[in-house]
Amino acid sequence: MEAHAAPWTWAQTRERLRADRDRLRQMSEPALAGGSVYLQPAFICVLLHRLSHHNHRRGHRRLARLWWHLNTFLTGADISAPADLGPGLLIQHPMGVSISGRAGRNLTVMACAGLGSELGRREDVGAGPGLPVLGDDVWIEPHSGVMGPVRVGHRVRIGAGMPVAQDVPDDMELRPPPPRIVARAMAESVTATAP
Amino acid sequence: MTADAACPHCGHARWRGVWRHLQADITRFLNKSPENQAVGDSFKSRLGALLTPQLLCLLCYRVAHALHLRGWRRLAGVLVRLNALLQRVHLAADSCIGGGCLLPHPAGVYFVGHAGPGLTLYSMAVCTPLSPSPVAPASSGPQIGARVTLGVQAVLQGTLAVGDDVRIGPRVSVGAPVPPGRMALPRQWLVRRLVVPAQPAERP
Repeated sequence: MEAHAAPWTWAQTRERLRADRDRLRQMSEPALAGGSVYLQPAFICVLLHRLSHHNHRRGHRRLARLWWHLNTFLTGADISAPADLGPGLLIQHPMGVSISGRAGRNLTVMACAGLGSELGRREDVGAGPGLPVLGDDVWIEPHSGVMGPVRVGHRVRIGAGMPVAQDVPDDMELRPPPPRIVARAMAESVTATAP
Repeated sequence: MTADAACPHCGHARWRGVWRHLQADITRFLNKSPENQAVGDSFKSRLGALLTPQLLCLLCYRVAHALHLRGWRRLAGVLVRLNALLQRVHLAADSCIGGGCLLPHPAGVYFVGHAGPGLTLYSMAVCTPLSPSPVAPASSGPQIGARVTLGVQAVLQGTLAVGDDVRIGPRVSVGAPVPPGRMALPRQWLVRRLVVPAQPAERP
């Protein structure tokens, strides 16, 4: 991910930001009117990441790191500067979100979800050593994540609490098995007798 | 629409209602463990409890909720953002949470929905509507009964009803209604013995 052929321009960053803003407006219910979209943490976190990524691509690594840390401090989202995320990025609630890797258009990340590397795996599938590559229109629900050097196809929905550590083809929905609903008294008696 | 009609569960629009539920939060905090009970129930101990992150975030939320119901939406939004910045917790201003709420570790908690009294939210518990909208209304989130506990990293997603006295286990994601008095447990637990490489024998 370090070697980029064409020089990165501000017009490209601005185009992505415009798509992010339009998608946030489109997905918001009730609709965000006027300039109120710019005050949403969901947009501020994406804006700071875009600035960080822009500086990274332009070679200003220290400035990129500054934006990255400011993002973590202000919004609680840890989105690495080299992370290459396509236009239309939507982060519902930035707190606890951690992102590094590469993703296509219209990535949706909900609360406490993320993507990143897995310890001990250093293969490169196109996003850097150990990092995942996501297609377009991927949706990551709360407390789920994509870990390690895996490829996730287009139009994939990863359900809440679902860890993904292997390749996923296009047009898939991944869900963990539904929980067991038991009587509370029975569950507590089992817990009490466990060693 | 009057303020009380917007929040039918309790009198959160009145400052008296806010104070009553905050008192219940403090009482629950002071009774949650023998160590806290040993401090006693005095003005000083209550003030000390109110200055802990667990109750500061609830104070901020309850004031934001009252302001939201009184029509001060932007000021309520500022308090919600302040909560997120200082305590790293998001309790939406239009959500209604009953008194006696307990957040042992507020960081990472995300709540958009309605809940009855005695709610317990452990670290990074998430209650959210299905929509990824950051301004989704609380009515589209989970509707939770009284004395419900959400474990660490538990997820309640969608417009679903959770009955009274329900316990959601850690790392369990629930997308369907849960009847009262039940407990949601993860489907699979994988427990394996860790293989430790043999250590070379020490020389005498």
